[in-house]
Amino acid sequence: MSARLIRSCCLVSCVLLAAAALAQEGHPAKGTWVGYWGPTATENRLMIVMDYDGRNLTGVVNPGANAIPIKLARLDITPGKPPAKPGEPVGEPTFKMHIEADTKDAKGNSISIVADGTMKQVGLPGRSMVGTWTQTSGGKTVKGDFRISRQ
Amino acid sequence: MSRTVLRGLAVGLGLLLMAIPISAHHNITAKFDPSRTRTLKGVVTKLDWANPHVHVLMDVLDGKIVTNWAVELESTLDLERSGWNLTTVKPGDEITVQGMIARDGSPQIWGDSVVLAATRKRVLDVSAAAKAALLPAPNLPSRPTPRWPDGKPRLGPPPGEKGYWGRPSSRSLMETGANVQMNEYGLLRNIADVDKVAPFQKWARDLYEYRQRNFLKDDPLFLQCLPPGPIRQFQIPYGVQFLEDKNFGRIFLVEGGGSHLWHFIYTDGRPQTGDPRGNADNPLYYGNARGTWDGDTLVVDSKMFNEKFWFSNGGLPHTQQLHLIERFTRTDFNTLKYEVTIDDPGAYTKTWSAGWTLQWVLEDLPTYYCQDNRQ
Repeated sequence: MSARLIRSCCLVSCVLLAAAALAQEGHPAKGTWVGYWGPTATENRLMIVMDYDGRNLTGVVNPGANAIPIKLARLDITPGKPPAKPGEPVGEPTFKMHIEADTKDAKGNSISIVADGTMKQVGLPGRSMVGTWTQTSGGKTVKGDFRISRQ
Repeated sequence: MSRTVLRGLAVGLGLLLMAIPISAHHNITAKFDPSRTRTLKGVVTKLDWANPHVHVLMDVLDGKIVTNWAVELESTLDLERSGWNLTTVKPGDEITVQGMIARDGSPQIWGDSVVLAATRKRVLDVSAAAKAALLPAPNLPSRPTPRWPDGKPRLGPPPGEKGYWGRPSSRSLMETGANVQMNEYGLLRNIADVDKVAPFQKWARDLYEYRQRNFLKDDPLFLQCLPPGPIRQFQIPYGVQFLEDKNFGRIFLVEGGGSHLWHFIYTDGRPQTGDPRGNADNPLYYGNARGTWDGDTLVVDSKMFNEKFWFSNGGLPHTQQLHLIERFTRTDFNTLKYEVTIDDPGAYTKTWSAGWTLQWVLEDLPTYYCQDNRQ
C-alpha cells in the first residue's frame, strides 16, 4: 500500500468519523460555530456558541474571558418552493440568521454586534453560515463579512 | 511518521470504519420519482448482490447510443423472500425492467419488476410478494395473550416458540385524530397538510416542511444508518423483539433492521438518572427508559435523548427536551397496541399523542442490516 493511499484512507476515515460524531438534527442553529469575520477573510477569529431552550436562541460570541452575550438571535426558515412540475428540482430554501450581541470593553466602551447570515448545507452536520457583520466599538463602526461553520 | 505506523493507523481506522455503517442506503422516494416510471430493455453487465440494496447494471440501446443503467433493487433479504438468489440474473442475460427513474436525470431506475427475456419469466415482483410480508396479515388465528407465571403478559414468544413484533399498522407519525395521508416513508401526499401533523413550534414546522419538500433526502437513518430511536423503531419494517429478563428487572428491546441495535428498558425501579453524555445505561438514541406495569400494560417513561436522529419516519424534529411515555398492551397473542405521548417543549407547543398496532410474526427476527455491502 503506498504512503499516499494510506494518507488518503486516513483522511477519508477521519472525515466520515467526524460526520457521524457531529450529527445534529434538532434546532439548526444550535451548536458551536467557528470561523472569521472582517474586511479581510482572516482578520478576526470568531466563535459563536448557540443553544435553544424551547423559546429562544441563546449564547455567546467568543466564549471565555470578554465573552459577548447574545442579546437576540433569530432563525427564519423559508422552505423551498415545490417543483413547478414533476422532475424539476425543489426550490432552494433559505435559512436566514440574525444575531445581535452587546457588551462593554475594559474601558467601559460599548461594543455592539449585528450579524445577518444565511445558513448553507443545512442537512449536513458541518453546515456553514455566511453573511454581513457590523461591529461598533467605542463609536467606531466596522462592517465586513463573516463565514463560520458548525463544529 | 514511518510507513509501518501509517499502515497500522490505516488498518485500525479501516477496522473502525467497518463498524460504522456508511451511506449507501436511502429512502427510495428521495432518489427516485414515483411520478416518472419507465420500461427498459437491455443486457446485464454486472450484478452487485449486497446490502443494503442490490444493484444490476445493464446496457440499454437507445437509438445508436448504449447507456449503462443502474437498476437498484431491494435488500438481499427482500429479494430472497421474492424467490431471487445470486444466480437468478447473470451478466449476459437480457432483461426488461420497470420502475421509477432517478429525480436527478442520471441513468438509474428503481426496479419494481424484472423479467428475463429468454423465458419471459418475471423473476422479481417485489410489489406483490415481499412487500406483502411487511404488511399486517389478515385473519390470523385467534389465541389468548400468553402470560408469565405471575400473570403478567409476555411481550416476547412463549417458551419453545419464536416470533417478533412487526408489520406496523401505520408507518407514519401524526397526532391522534389528524387526517393526513403519507407514504410508508412518512412523505406527505399533500404538502399543504404540514400543519395538521403535529402542534409544531414555528422553527420545527418550517424544518419539517423543508425536509418534506426535499423528499427526506437528509434522513440520517438512511444516510448514515444511525439508529431509528424510540418511536421510529416501531415503524420500520423489520420489527422488534422484547426479551424480558425478569431476574435482573430489565427488558432487552432488539431491532430486526437497521444496525440490529438493542437497548434496555429497566423495570427494577431504579431512578431515571444517567450520564447526560451517555453511558452503557443511557444510550441516548433511546433515552433513559424505565418500565412499570399498569395492569396488563407496560408503561415506559424515557428521556435524555440526543438530537442526532429523526425520531419518526417523515422527519419530525425533536430536541433534548423530548420526554416520551409509551404504553405497550398485548391485547391478544398476535396484537401489540402501541401508544405514545410526546412531550417536547423545545419543538412542540403542547403534549401530543399517537398510536398504532404491531403484529406478531411467527419467524425469527430478520437478518437485514443497514450497512454497506457485506460487512
